[in-house]
Amino acid sequence: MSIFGSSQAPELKPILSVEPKEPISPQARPTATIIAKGVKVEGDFASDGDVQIEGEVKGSLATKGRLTVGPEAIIHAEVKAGDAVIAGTVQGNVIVERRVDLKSTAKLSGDITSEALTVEAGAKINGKTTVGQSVKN
Amino acid sequence: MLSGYAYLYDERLNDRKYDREISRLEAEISRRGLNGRVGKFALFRHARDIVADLMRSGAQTLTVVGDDETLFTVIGALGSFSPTLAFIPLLGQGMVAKELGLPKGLASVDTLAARFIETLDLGLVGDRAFLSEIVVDGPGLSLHIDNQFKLEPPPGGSIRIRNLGPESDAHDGLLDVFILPPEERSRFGWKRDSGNIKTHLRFKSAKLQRSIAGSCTVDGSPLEGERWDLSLKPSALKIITGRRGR
Repeated sequence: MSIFGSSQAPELKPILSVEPKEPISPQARPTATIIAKGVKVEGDFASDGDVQIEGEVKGSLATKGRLTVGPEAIIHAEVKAGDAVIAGTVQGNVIVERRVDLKSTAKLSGDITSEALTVEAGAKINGKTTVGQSVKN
Repeated sequence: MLSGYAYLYDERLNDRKYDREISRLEAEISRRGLNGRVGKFALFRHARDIVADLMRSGAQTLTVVGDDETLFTVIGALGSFSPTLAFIPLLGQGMVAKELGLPKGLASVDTLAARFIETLDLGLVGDRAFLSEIVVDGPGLSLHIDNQFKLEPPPGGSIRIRNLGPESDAHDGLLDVFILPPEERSRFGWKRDSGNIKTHLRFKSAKLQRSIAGSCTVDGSPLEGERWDLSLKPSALKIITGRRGR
């Protein structure tokens, strides 16, 4: 499926929403890893906890926790995560165990596989989406 | 003297303005029966030799009298010795004293007597131990973490690798890396908080590199080079603190 959203949306409501079968558990997570704007990461980046990316990542990116990709972040990587909130640019396939939230500023070139997906108006996806399947990273 | 205690004084305490405070300190130590051999840092004696002399005299508890800088010097000079350290911050209550819950000056003799001992991790740069942090800035920096990935700060940014200090726990078996963005200044030259979030993650081992030779700062002292191996020695330092039950 390919979706190219409009550039200006008056309201940022999800245009596609497939809710997970079970709510995301607010499990205790280790302190978040943060890659700030201007910082470059290259290689195989893996974490058990939450990860927030505002900078640039090349290689692969995996976390069992929540991945947050900021609006100015650029990721050239295969991405695996427990949950993901994407507002920036991702070039690579995204495999998420539970839920992916694509914000209006998201630009994704790659396939998405997840149990649940929400997409805000304005988000750009160029790839195949497979939603509703149980995923194990 | 075969007492289990030894005391190592900072060289700056030779200044006469500290005579009275040192007399009171020694009287208090004596009153509590904590006497031991005394060593003093001196201009032309290597810290490692002074520490080794005290340790070979049979000291089991080495009490550092001075400030954070004195404590860092002793930790860097311990080599293969592993005494229980105590710290009397007579020269000022710096970051370490605060982190360890030690009051300034004479009051910390109470903590010495109470002997609440904590075990802390020590960072290693090569084979040199550090307690607090390594700081490096300048162009061409990179940090290769756990042989898995490389981090590069933005131009003008700096890297801090911290074991003990704000936002770092010296009990967790990990070192913290913080990458700070370049300082922003107002047009009047004042430092301005950029409000940017800073990079933060944790690791067990890493290689810190700079593309041109220079130095990094290890616990406040410069260390020349262009490539440093960083690791952690978990639970390597026994130290008397001012808090119970950690």
